[in-house]
Amino acid sequence: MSADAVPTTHIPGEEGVWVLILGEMSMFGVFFALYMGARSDDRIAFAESQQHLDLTIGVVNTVLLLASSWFVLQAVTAVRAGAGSQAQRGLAAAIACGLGFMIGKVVEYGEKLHAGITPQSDSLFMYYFALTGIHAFHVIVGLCVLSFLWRALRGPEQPRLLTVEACASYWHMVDLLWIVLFPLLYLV
Amino acid sequence: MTDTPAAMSRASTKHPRPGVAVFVVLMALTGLTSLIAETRDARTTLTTAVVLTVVAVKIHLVGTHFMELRHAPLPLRLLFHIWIVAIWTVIVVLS
Repeated sequence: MSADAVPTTHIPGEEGVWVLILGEMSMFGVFFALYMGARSDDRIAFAESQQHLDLTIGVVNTVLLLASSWFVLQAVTAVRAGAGSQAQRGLAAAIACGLGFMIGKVVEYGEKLHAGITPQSDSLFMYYFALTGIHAFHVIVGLCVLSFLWRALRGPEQPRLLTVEACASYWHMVDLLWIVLFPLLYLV
Repeated sequence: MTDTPAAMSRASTKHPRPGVAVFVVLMALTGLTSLIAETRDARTTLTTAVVLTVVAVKIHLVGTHFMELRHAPLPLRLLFHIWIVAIWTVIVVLS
């Protein structure tokens, strides 16, 4: 890839945002460990409850977040090239994917609640609602960040590249956390 | 501002759609993990290790290409990849 030829190092965004990102990743790492610890105490019950999770929505949501990350990469690339309107289109597509993810989440929660499944049902669903809920909160924050960026790109003063990269990095973190969360809850 | 973003800009002008190949690989890996999940009876530590290895590759690809960590200083890249190894180890050991 030609971009690999860039000789100097460069932190995407500002250092502070990486403290936040690595902190969030560490926090979720603890959540993953807690979940696996609880699961190892009662594998059979977890496996039985896992049958009630909607794998299709999980896969579709994974595809949506991966696509949104790709669109954000296109937007960052467009900002660097000075193509503001192209960057806006990329961000709009990413936001649409993120909203699609949230709709899928609402549908999934609705299905569970309609079937009488709540966080109090058992340990798996307590972790399921807690982990996916905390992640969904991060998706909402990420959507606000992308919307802020989209709005900033409309104005006469273009946002700094570091700001664009910081916002993009946060959204990619939301994506990669789901990359772990999805197989953890639905697959293994 | 360093000259790195400018260099990236020149690179991206030549390739206005970066990350297409990475995105296709990510889609394929997502399909692979879903296929493994179809064999629900095979939920062994080995299966978890295989699925988590695919997950680790996906996170590496997102970090390196979408987050653009391939241009980041070594300490940041190391921290990111230490997290991947830690997550893989914790989940597989506790599975």
